[in-house]
Amino acid sequence: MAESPQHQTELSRDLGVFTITMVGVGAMIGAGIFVLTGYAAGTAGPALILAFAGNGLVTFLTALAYAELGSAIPEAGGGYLWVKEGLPGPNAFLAGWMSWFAHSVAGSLYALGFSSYLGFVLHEFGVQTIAGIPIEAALFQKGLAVLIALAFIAINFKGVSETGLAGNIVTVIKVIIISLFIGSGLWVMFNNPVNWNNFTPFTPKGFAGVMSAMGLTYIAFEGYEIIVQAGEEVKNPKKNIPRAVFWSLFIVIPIYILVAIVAVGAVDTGSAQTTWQWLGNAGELGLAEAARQFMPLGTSLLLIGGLLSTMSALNATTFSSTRVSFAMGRDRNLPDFFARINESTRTPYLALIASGSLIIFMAIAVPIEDVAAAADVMFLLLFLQVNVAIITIRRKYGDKLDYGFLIPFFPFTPILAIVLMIVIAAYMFHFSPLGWYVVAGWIGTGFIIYYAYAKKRERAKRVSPVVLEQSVYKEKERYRVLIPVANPKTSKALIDFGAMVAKEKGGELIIMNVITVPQQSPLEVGRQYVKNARDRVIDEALEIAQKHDLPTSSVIRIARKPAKAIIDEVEDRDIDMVVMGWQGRRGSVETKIGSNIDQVMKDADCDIAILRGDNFSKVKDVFIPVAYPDQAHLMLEVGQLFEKEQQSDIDLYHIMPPYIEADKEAKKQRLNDLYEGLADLDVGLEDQEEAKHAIKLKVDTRVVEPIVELSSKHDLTIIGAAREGWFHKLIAGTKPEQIAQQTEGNLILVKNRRTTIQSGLLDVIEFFRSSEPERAQ
Amino acid sequence: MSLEDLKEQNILLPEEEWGTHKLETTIAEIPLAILFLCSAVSWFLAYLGDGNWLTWVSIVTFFVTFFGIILLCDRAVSKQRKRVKKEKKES
Repeated sequence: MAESPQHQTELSRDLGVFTITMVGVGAMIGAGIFVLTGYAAGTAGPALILAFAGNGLVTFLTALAYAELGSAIPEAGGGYLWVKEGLPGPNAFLAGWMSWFAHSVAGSLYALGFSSYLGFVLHEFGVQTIAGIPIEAALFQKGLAVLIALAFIAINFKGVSETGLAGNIVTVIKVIIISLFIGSGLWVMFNNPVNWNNFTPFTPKGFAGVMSAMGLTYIAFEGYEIIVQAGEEVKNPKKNIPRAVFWSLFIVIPIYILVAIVAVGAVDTGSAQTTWQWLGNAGELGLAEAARQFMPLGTSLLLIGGLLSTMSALNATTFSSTRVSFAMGRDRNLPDFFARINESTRTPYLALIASGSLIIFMAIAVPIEDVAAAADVMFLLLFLQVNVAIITIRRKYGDKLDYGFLIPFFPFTPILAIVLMIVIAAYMFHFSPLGWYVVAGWIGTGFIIYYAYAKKRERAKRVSPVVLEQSVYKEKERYRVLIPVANPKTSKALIDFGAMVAKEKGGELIIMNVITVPQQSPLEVGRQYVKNARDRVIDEALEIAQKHDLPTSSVIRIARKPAKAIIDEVEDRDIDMVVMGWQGRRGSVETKIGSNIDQVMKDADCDIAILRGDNFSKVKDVFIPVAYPDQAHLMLEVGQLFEKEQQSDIDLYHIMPPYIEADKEAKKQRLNDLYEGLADLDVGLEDQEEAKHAIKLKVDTRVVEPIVELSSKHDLTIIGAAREGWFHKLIAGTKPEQIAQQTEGNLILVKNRRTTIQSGLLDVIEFFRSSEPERAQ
Repeated sequence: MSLEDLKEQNILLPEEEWGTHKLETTIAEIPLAILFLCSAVSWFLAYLGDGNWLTWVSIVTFFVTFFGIILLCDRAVSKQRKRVKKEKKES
């Protein structure tokens, strides 16, 4: 009798230490440095260098707190959740309230930065007005900022986000542009020693100027928060989160300092005006104006960098502010509608609309430098709260938490961070009183909302997502067949086939469903679809599976990408075979089989069978084209299953080109190798003689066409995964792909565990080939 | 937020391990303090250098000491994981 099915729900972790470090670097080398360098130079003078270095030290102190808490409590939400856990009363509400504002206002800054850069581009192309509005007018800048903000609200609503590939490419482009900027600037400085005079006087606005510039550019250092916010998606978070926090700072801080040195040192104003004044007057376009002077194609490259940075930062802040307001709605700090999820896109659409409105309002109502100041002060106060929270969390939970990193000189380090941040925030009043008034107004409103509304509604007990460890499984006892199912209507064929394999091997079935969640929503959102997935997909699949009287269990994974979830499952449970379905794409120009299947074929370390077709229950004849013995093993094994279970006839064919057929020696050699190899496989063909009789020969110059023709005469075709080299794959696609595209009937594509598909070079090629974002299944 | 909540979320260590793990940092604190002090001092010296040679020497010193700080932190992460594993075994 079969064992009763077991259910399990798990989250999939995608990000390794390198990727998550690059996420942090990408977030930091971004809009902040492009938009704020000019203003900061005007505020600090050449001591802008010290503003960046000083921020490096101050931010390092808070980064220590993020490393400790991010490793001990690796939940999406980061700072807001820790303050919620560590501090009493309105602090938790205010942390969310301030975080929501800080991210939204940062979004306003990036929207305004984008419109400035685009205005500059248009100006470079000689465009003076658009729809009668001069491009230099405030109306144009604000209007464009509203349009780009609306565009990103729409993109986030659709649930589309930068893929890992797109994000990596944008980060690489930004780093290259900044490196060129630094390199050409240093070249100019070392070839014109007189440029070093630009650094004296070093602090024309005194210590206050340096402190104000530190405050103004603080936002450019907060990217490590993104690392922690992605905590639930990081592999081995105890180790990788703190390491990524530290290494991202190590990469970014020297780059910032070098940018400051070059921006001040390589510019020649050609007048009595000092370079720092000149940069300050250029404002958000300071870096682009500087690049025009000393960098080949400087303006164009800097504008590209600025546009890419502001767009990707606007995208990131739109969805981070949405996530925070969503979390506040879920915790009943804000009205419930903030936590409402759109059923089709699975994004928190009302939280998105509210955050988008805030971004647009601030972009319209406040000048750009005051927007920057407000965002900076808010981030400083937020990080200040985190430093207080770490002290209380350590005292409350002590050694009950599993820390990946522990702050040195505790609690003096967070106290030092708090003091320094208060000083910097205070100096910001110097720079922008309006920014401070906006912040004070927002916090005051927060207090009123808390005491008048949120306090009564706040849940006493917050149940947030379980971050499940995925390593604890019972010992493997038998052959395991994993069947990812998405649609109950098409899962029967997969389960029947999987059961046939499992029965033959004395194994078990694992039915799996993947709940995909777009990046705009935390993974925990997937939990609300678990019941639906169980009722709609898993239970029905289990019913089919149980008819086969095999040990069966089920698992639901919550992930960003279905392929990654399948690969994780293969690794975690030591799966022997994955059986997947493919709907086919007849008539499509796309040669790839499907992004999820491709990735599983490439990365899953197990046998794989991809089934196309609805009915595999009455297969009279099976066609197997064999080319090489090493890839034929699984094809023959699968063919034999049909022979055994359904008494199907098996037709083995070998396609031989005429030039080999004409050469007797070559023909003999090739066939002998094939017969010998197949006989050695021990899958139904006893010896070479039997192999010789079993295999039919077809002479043709082509490979794909004769297989397609023979396939049409059989109920089922079994083909093996590609064996071509990477170059052939790159330019022509693979033969199995072409066969799969051109045949009409039932088809099984099989791949043995560890074939030559996986190679480092191919990975690189695949990295640049893949262009489409993963879609939810 | 109670202990029960954290337990529910799988964030807490198993109860039998409470009290068995040290809360002291694994960073080499003295070298860290020296490096951090050097960084801070080099920042001030860069300020006092007024854009002349002292500023540049101090900035180079700042880079070097900052790199040292990051290296110490990175090593501390690995040491912490090893220590936790060892403590788990012992408990």
